[in-house]
Amino acid sequence: MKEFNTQQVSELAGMVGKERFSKGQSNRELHLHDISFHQGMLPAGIIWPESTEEVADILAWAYEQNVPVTPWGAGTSTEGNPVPTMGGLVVDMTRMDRVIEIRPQDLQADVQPGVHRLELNRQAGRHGLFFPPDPGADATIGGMIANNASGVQTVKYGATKDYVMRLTVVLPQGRVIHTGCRAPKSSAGFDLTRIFVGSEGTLGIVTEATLKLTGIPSHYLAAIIRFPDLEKASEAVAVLIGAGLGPAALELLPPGLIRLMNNEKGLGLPEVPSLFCEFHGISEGALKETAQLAGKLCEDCGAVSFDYATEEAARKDLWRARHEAWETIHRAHPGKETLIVDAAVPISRYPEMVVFAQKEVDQAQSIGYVFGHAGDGNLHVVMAGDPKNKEEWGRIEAINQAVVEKAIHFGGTCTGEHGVGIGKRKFMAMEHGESYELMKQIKNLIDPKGLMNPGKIF
Amino acid sequence: MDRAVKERLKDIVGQNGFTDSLIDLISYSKDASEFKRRPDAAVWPETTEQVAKILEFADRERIPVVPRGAGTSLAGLTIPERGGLVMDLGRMNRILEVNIVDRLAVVQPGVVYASLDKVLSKEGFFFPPDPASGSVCTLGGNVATNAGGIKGAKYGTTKDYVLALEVVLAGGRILRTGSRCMKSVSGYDLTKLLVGSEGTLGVITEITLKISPKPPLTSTAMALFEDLEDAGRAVSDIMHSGIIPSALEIVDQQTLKAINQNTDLNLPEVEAILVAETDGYTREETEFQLEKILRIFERNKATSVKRAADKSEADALWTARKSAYGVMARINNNLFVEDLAVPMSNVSKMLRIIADLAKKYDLKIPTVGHAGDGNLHPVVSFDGTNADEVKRVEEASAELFQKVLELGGTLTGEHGIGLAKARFMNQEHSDLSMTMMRAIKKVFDPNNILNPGKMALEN
Repeated sequence: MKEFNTQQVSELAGMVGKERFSKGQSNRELHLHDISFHQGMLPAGIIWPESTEEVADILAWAYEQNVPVTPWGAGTSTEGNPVPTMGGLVVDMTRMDRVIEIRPQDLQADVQPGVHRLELNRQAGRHGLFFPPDPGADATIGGMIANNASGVQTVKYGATKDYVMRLTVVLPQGRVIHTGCRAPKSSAGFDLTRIFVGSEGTLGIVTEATLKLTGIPSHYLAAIIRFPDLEKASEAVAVLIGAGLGPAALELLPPGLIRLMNNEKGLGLPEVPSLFCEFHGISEGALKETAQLAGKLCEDCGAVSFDYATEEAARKDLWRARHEAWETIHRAHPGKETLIVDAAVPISRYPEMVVFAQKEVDQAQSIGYVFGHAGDGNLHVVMAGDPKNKEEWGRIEAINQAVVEKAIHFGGTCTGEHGVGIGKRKFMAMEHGESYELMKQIKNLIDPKGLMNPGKIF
Repeated sequence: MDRAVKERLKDIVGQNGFTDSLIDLISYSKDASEFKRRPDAAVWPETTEQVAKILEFADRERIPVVPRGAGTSLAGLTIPERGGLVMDLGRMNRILEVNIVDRLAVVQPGVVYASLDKVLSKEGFFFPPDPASGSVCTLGGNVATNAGGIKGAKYGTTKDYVLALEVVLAGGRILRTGSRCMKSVSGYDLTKLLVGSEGTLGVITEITLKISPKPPLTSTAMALFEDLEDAGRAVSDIMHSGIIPSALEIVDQQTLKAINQNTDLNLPEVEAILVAETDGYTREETEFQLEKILRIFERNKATSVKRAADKSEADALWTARKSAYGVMARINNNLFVEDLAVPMSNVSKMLRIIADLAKKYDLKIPTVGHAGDGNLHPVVSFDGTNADEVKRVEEASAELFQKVLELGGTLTGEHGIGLAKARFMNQEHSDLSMTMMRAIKKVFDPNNILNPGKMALEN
């Protein structure tokens, strides 16, 4: 659906007021892309609701009018998850951006979906608490719930799904459903909350969430461990995890990526295969003990050096550089788009996957960086190319296919944290078999007209 | 159930896998709840294929099928409410894989919790949910109920550990959900939908569980509180202090009185006792955490704080908590172990409400619970032959759950809905939520043959 007619425009503007609906070209273009290369269809208009009731009105209207609806948070997705594929209406949730209440004694916060992760953590931080899922980008909480986002700290703290207690969701036709409860545990009926977490806006729009928070750790220790080759580094990952040291982050970085980070940020890091590792704990003594044990284990795996620091500044620089890895790669290859592999495998298969992915990239002579949240078996290959150059892009696509197939063969998944979006749909039947049919049935049950974020997951 | 049906079932599972003898059927008419209903027959399948064939046949013939583990359900989850067939998964009891590097175990549903624990502990690992019935309950039952236990505050419940499932649906379709990865965002989370579904969506035939390294050391302390509110505040303060105890249990005054009346333990009859345990890899770690807890106990006016110097002293501190159920069973001839959860700041408020209800309805409701995750077990003991008392129990339950829900809580923290709480489902879940659960049930089990009558999924 490319354009709204005048009747539709006046009805939409009537629901929220003229200033919160736009069919202006620039606004429409701003809601056409996330950070991926995926191409969508220009939405016919953007609407900015401010309450659950307004969202309900909008979805009731869209259902009646058969208008496709795509919810929008911060647009920081990497798989085209919020890219409108059938035009229609984009529902931009960023005006519902309040932290409604923090209840420190219950370790909980009630939030609106448009609040950004860093803002929530700023407010929770006043109570000594934080919301741990950490995708790097300053995503909105709504987007994080839709994608079941996670990041470098997931190896210790889990993903978004582990922190969502309660949801208010507006379903197609404007029906409002409340799921979950404020008790820390429940066995009362089907867990509807977790059907919505990670459903990428294909079932409805989250308008309020109760999140679990956790105490900010009192002590940190960051370490960089260097290895002669990628294989030894990834073997050390399996050993560190198996030993139960409980790192709060365990990231694998290849020399090529460190080189880019050095060039851009002047970090001066040795350009060898490295693990960035972090431990959180209750005392400096306990952390140093852990670090010494980790150092010993890494040495046994062939590490050439193990450096650690407990100072805040050095730690933050390191992680900022890691968080900006994708941007750094993007900037280093101007004019190119990136395709990101996001496979995850059981940790014992991680070394093999890393070596395999690197070999694929090398053999195809493509531009590609193999790294990832090694601690939870999540492997990223960021490859740069020009989608218009069929030959170049074709080689990248082939690597993507090969890595994902191998991951699934190992009992893994095509997406550890980025979501299915547009790009991973082709792998769903292979990964899930009969279960994919069940997912379709659930989608049809809740969204029989297929209007919610069409063209995603299915 | 006519003969042809029984013959067909025998064809699938063999003579040894089928029974309709009275003694077996009586056994299968009960679980650990107050409910009973006799099935028409029972089967012991040994493979996923047999389960699939049975469910294909049962679906065609519209025979109710009730999957069963060890029958330890406290909420009537395994009662064959519509008769039909009990499917005892006890013979599918193999541990298929323990993979320490990948931190997972693959098991059949009939494996007893303690059997897995034994194998894992040799490797220094464990599967943490640790239900109280762990020595007998099965892992299939744990998954179906989303079971929890004493370690919930630190380690979560079963749902946090299920990575993948093999499930047979009504009609015999075999589904594999999830993956062997620690994280995945690939489509809808069907695994989490199946965990806690009480056998109403499918029969679980294989479970891939995340396992955790088991901290070898623990430290234990106990504190007495003259005032319930002080104990409640101590719980909140501990959970907010940056450390998470591996257990934080509360025992109320009624329980202490019941223990004293039935034992010679001579416990002080204060308003509440808290028992805390911390775990870790080094003594320094466990003691550091315990010190923090002790300070919080003192700050919240604990009248007496005891700290265990060794294992036998720790066991002594646990006596009050661990002897509770046995003692309560002696109070009267019937016993309901209730199960509710509230936000943890409301633990003391909830205990006060329970005490008031006991007074109002002239009942004994001693309460113990996992305070660290807001999960309380009021134990209602009564005389089932006294119609008036039964009525008071029912009224008190209804009022209790209304209050729980007002406090933002849930009908059940870890025991499930089953038959016991079906009538309250619609109070916790709105009409729309109920409609959605029922619609999901229809997708998985259109003819309603799987554990029918549970969780208020009919209507």
